Amino acid sequence: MTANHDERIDGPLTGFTRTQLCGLFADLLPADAILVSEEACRPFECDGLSAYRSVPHLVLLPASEAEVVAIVKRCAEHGVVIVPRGAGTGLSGGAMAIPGAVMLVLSRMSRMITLDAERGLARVEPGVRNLAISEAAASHGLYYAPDPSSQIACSIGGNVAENAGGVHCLKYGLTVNNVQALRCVLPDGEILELGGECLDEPGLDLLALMHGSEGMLGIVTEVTVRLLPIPPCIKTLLVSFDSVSAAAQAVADVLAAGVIPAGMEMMDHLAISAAEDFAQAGYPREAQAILIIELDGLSEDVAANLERLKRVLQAANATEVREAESATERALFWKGRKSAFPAVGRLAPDYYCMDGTIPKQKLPEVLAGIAALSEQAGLPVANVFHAGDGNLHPLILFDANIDGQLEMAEQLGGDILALCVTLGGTITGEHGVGREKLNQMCVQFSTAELEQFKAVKEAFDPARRFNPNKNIPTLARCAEFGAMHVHNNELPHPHLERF
Amino acid sequence: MQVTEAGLIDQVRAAVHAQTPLCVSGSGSKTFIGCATQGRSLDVRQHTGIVEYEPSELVITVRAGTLLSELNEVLAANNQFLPFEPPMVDGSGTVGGMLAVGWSGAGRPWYGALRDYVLGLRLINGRGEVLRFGGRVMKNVAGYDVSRLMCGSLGTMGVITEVSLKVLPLPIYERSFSLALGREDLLARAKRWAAVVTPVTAIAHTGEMAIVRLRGDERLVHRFAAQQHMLDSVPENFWQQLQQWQLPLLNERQGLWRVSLPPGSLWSSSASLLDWGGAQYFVKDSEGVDVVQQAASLGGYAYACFAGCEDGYPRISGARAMLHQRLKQAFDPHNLFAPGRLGIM
Repeated sequence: MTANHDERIDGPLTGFTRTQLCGLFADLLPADAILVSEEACRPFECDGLSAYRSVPHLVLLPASEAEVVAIVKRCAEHGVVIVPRGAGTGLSGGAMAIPGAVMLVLSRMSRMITLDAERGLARVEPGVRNLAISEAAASHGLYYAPDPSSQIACSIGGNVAENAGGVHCLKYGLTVNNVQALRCVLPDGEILELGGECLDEPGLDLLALMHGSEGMLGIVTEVTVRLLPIPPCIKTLLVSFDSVSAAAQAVADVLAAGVIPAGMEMMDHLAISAAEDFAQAGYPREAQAILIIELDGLSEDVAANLERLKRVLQAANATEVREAESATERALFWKGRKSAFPAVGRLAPDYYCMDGTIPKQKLPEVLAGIAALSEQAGLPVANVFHAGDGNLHPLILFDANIDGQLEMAEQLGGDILALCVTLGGTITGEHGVGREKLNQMCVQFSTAELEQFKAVKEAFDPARRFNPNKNIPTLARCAEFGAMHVHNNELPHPHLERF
Repeated sequence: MQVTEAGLIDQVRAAVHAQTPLCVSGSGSKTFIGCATQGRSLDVRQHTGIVEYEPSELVITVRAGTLLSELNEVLAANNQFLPFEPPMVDGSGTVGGMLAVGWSGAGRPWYGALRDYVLGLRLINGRGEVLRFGGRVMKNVAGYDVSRLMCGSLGTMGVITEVSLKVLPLPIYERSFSLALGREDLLARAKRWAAVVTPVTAIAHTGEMAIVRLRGDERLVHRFAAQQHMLDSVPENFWQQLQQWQLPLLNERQGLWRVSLPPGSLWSSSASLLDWGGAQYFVKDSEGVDVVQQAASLGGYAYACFAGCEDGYPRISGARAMLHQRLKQAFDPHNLFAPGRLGIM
């Protein structure tokens, strides 16, 4: 794949060797917090996008903000690049090691600092796992809403870096909508405090900017999340359709009718049968598409909305509307959906998960497009979506052991994302750009826009020492990738030679 | 006559060429926010219209000069609304001004702020380039979140020409009630409500009475109101008048402050209106109280709602100030847009 650092198009590397790096931090951290040997560093060679691998030259495991500051200052003195990493569950290679850089792993900073049930706020270190917050809050009748599929393992610092979503975003928003305050370490070692107890603060919304910035602007050392009361009533429906377009129309009808479900997920035929084989969730194998729709809130509200919802679904030609009769059945409905990735993973030796978002009305069009591209490439694609917010996760099936298939999968993935952009969407809804989608960034944004992103990066990190060459492509890369499309009647990169 | 984006770009490029500062202006209803600035007016009021609106997408894209009243009308005709209830001072205000100021109304603690509903925008930066950030879809993490960054920028980073917003369906049913409670008792009650899911979507106290807005299923709303001994006597159009700053305390701007505090805070002076369940107050400084000082001691910020007040905008300091300066340089290298309005430089 194109993931490896290429000095020609990514810019020069610092050139530090493993030996040079390992002496730099011995006085700052206990010996067991510095991993030097290739063997010890190997577990950090990739994140959740395992096709992209690069063993870090040095791994540092700070246990406190003070240690992070000391490391960052030392790196600033010597010009060392830092790649921050949380739990390593990211899906875009955002935590991929860079040659000559140190990897700063925040998993040891996993203290729950305070849980203020009265104010509904939890102040935690970045290494705290997403689900652990809800578990700790449960005894107060509270929970943390964003629930990415990796929530058992992923950490809250990584959730901020990626602006992680989940299956309940439609009603409860992404990470950015559920974080009240942050503490970050800037590239010069200064502490940046953002947000607080007030519901707004003067000036630019820097708190929002940090979300999804992929560890390129600051290293998060403390996160204050908002906790919500656990909804007393939850109803979950499993709805079948005999065509994907009927299911897509139903999604639009539900939202147009004024019902906002807590979650609304769609799976296509291939994904349904894979999930059913894997999880025995009771999904209808004959259906061409299913929706899992969940309503939550106070019982009267849920009952009223459920009635409206059922009426809309009948009118939208649902072939079956099944309501979970118990918490067990509801968990089973979700189990099939939440295990869709590993389930599809059993259909082929490898799969590649995409993450485009489109306007929902384009769903039938994009699905037809994906089917055509899939046939053309000769690689099957299973489709799983956060239908309520138009976020697609096409899963491309391939076998990396067959020569050329990895590249074909990557090419197909890129084509699918380009299709999403053409239809008015975006290349990534919640997984981030990382190393993976750098080329597609050239499709979505113009030269001036990419240059503006670069200027934002430089405002925080003029020496480009925090996770460089992720998220924002260089113009040289875009030129090489050949994404020469026209914006506002101006060719991008006018000063670069065409070849 | 409609002004195109190209027309606005020309004006910015001319200003770049002549090195003359610009003040981007909409309806001018909130010009009192921020520090003193100067520059030639760049009027976006004629850059108007709904660019795209498909109600089932829950997304609307509008040009910056569009009046908020017009936007609200279009949404209401489709049973949708802006849940963050942007302030419409004296009923006025444009979409661009709403975003540049970044303030939210009575529903803020329950629905989120304006920035939680911003999905994307178009911006002319200080080089005269038009840039698109975010998009017209619900979820988008491609590139940095410049769209939300601009909320609260007070026109200092460029000309916002178009905004895409997430919208929500109108509640099935809504009813407001009053409570015979003083402020302290109201705050204690609000704390109990916050611990569980309730139909509460706004909590205010005028000084004379506590007013609570409930939304949801009709039976639920009335059951909850009865349980909480709520009364029916609420002034007509209370929330609308609050949103439009037309309540008795708010309609006279001289000496009026907006104070943002940690939720549940108690502001002691009586010439004030409690909003956001105690996280926002509108305060009159006529009693000789140092509003700025008192807000700071409660852990909050005070914003003057009248022009010409020297400390009328909270000072941005430390690392945040440094980043504001550098971001200003990144978007507006010639310092053309509303120089000094954020109190930095």
